[in-house]
Amino acid sequence: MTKPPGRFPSGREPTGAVGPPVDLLRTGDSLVLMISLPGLRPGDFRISLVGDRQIHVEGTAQYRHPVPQENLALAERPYGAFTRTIPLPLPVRSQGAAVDFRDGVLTARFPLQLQRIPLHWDETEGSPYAEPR
Amino acid sequence: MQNPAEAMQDLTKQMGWLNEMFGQEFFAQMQQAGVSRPRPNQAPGGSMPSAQPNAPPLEIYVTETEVVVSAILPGLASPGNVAISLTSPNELVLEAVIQPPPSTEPATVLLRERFMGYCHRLLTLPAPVLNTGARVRFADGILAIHLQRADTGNGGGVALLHVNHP
Repeated sequence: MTKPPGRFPSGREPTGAVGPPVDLLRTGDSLVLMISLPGLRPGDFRISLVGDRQIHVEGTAQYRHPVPQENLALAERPYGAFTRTIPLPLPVRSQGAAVDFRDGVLTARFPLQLQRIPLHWDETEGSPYAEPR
Repeated sequence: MQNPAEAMQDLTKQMGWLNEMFGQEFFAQMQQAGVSRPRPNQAPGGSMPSAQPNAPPLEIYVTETEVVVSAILPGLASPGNVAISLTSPNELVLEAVIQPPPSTEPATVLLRERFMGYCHRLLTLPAPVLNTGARVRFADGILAIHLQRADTGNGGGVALLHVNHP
């Protein structure tokens, strides 16, 4: 049974674009990134923050079954190198970042790099932006 | 002029390779634009990846005593979220629920690509198995299901795919 090598479950060829699937959430003052990396071990991949608006993850899915790969009766999991660059919608900083890897999911939490400014609402009567009374 | 049947087979094969090359994200985006995903023929034994949106990818191999099914289920939080059943000695049903991780703080989803929710696979096993139970292990997002073969000692380790004739 043959299968094109080198593509991670979600994606196309390692060069160029989408690799492992990603969830991105905003909680309070943090951005939380969750990446599915099933079957990988911490030494198989690397994650890095590029500037303050990009996350880069790369690695290699290793074959670890006790039988030769060509003897698999069903082979739907691709192996080999993968890479993905995720643009972030908000700038973050690495200081205070936390990373956890559990059950094949990498969770990385980054503090947002935002300085919130106070808003002064227009109080003209009839203005749609007047503060509610 | 090419035989129409051969032309259809070629086209199906090419669509299968397109599906293989571009994967789920590409076709999810195309679906939003109104282009549906091509559905390649699935050869017996599953030589093509699963084309169903809520079906986990699998690997299966056979040893002298066991049939081992590996299901790719990153984020499976609890053993209680998995059910494994047999419809016959050669057919297995795997069901699982992947729930979002518990969180004590509210979150706004900015991007959602990872699968969540109920998924299942109905698959034909390459060798018959006993229904006395399965040894199961979950590690690194991979669920490994070890099933005792019902034909141990026959065939010298050669797996036979059971084919139902109409």
